[in-house]
Amino acid sequence: MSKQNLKEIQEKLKRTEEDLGDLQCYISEFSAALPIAVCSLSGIGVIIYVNKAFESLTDYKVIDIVGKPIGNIFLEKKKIDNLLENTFQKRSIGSDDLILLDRNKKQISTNVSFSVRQDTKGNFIGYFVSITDIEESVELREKLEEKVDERTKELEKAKEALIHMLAEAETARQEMEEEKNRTMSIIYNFTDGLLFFDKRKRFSLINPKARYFLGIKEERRMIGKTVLELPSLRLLHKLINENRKVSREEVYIRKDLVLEVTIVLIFTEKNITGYLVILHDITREKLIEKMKTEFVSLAAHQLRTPLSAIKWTIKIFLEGDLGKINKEQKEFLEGAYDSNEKMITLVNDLLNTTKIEAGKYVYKPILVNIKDMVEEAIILCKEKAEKRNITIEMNRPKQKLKKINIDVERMKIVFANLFNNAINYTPPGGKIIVSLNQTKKEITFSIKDNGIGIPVNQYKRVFTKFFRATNAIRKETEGTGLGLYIAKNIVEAHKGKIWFESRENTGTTFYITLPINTK
Amino acid sequence: MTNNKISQQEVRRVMLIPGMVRGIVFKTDFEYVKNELGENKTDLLRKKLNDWENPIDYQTIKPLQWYPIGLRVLSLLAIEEAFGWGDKEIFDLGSSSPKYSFPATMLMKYFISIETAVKEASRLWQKHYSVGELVPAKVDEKQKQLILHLKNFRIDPVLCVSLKGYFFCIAHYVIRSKKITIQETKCMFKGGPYHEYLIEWE
Repeated sequence: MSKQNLKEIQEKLKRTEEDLGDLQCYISEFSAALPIAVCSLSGIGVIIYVNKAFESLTDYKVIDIVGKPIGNIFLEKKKIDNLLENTFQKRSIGSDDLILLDRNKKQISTNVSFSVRQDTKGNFIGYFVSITDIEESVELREKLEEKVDERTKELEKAKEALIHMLAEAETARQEMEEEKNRTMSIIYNFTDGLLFFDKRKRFSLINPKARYFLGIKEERRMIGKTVLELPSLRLLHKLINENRKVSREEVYIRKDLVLEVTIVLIFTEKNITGYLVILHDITREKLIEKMKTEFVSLAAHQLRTPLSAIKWTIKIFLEGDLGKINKEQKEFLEGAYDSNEKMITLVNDLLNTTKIEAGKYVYKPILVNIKDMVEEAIILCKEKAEKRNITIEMNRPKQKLKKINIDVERMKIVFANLFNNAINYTPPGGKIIVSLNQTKKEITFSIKDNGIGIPVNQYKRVFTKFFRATNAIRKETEGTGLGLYIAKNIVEAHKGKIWFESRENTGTTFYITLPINTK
Repeated sequence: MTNNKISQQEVRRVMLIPGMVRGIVFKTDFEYVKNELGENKTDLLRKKLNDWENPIDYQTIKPLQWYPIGLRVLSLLAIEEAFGWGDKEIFDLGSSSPKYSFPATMLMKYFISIETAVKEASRLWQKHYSVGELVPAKVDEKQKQLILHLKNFRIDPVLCVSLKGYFFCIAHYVIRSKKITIQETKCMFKGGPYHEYLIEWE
């Protein structure tokens, strides 16, 4: 080799050394400038180089950490071994989140990436490791996770509460269902017929008994229709339209079926929510009643004849037609006569009642002057009144009364009953005032006494059969309790009205109005 | 440990030792001192070298350039004298050298395994020193033993200690063990035919 060649080689070597120096300098500066902690490992995972960012992240100096296994600075050593192994096997980049232990054993969350180092021939010579501090992002993630956990717990609680509420609602629903079933069971098995209408009077429910009573085979097509739209329910038209809290009527459905139809308004607070129709079978009661009436009628008829015979026999004795009787005999016979009279009255009342109930009470009205009838009634009871020291006054009408159509015999019964009651229940010294008034359409008769009056709690029963007010029973033990019942029926048969005003221990006034109908 | 003060004559003798060394060794010496004692203490080192009329500008030394091996010896001796260090500190300095050494990281391909490292030991040596010969005498992974022979390298005893530390550090790169020991079992300054380093591990 010539001197020249040697010099050239030396010059080239020098330049190569300078280039290598520059390269080393560049790499050192580049490595120092990297913000990410980087280290290189030997083939067995021992740290052989670390950059400045590594020192600053781990607080380890080069001298302390180079030569130590990489696992020394991480909490999860097993993961490191796995990463080394996997990265080596796959010759790829492996990464994982690991807890780094710095020099002061402080734990730092990091993301660690491993990559394989290879020489120019592709042979494995170690690893590059980059470590990224993810403490902040982990903190953020943890906070986020905490929030999510918190929210999840809240949602869990809300879910539990909801489930609980749903369970309660389900229980309530089941209870309601059971209640409904129970109610429906009662309705369906009720011995009375039941029908329900909504507040617009539209049909909604019927039970089997009502179906049977009304001969309804299938109600599906009836639902939602009004009473007017349902011919099978025509019998309810009148009652349901009365709109009273309770309306009641006896209805003859057919020969062998009489129903008591009751319509009850159903309220929720103050609003009408519907109508309940109760159909009660009173066929048997009606039959018994009819039999009773027939029996009473028969008995009364059979009694009246002998009672009349007794009456006339006693009268013959009293009038001396069969010879003179002494004072004592006369007193006994008068007592028997009075008792017989009462018995006749009772029998007559019973007969009248049975006729009324049987619908056999025939009226034969004629045009009469009611004033004459009233005056006659006063004359008939005057003796009885005088005996009791009771005066009867009549307020005569200012105008001439029109004649009206009256069944005289029946109306006499009415007046007789009213006058008798007034006299019987007015104390001695009392006064009875009778009045007659006329308007365009009607004539009103009134009879006012200052007697014992009627207790308020018995007002409703005054016109019912066999009713006698408690204070009346105390005062006068006798009396059939049929007089006012008969009177009411007679007055109403004349298309009139009868009512009263009363105050206990003060007196009572009965009123009768009769229509002016000359035809 | 060299407790005696180094004379000017000794300095001159050292500087005449033949052989070259890569500049990186000065860099690693300086980095170690700076890290151990602080930068201000490095003035003592500079002063000592100035006193010996062989100043070393550690900052401008180029890691891959060749420098006289005597200068490296002077660097180590100056460190010993300036800071009163002995064998232990020089061993530590030697063992830290690869940690600061850029070429060492470049030479990682030699540290993949014991086998590779041993196989390439000679070439590795030659990349740092122009004199001497590093020969693996025994590699027994079963017995967990490695013997290195450093031949034709009679430079200065201070290098024996420093190199022991260096080999110790490199051993950690290739041996997976928590306990590694190293001994210089033969030394040319103690009548040995070569330097022999016995590395053992558990």
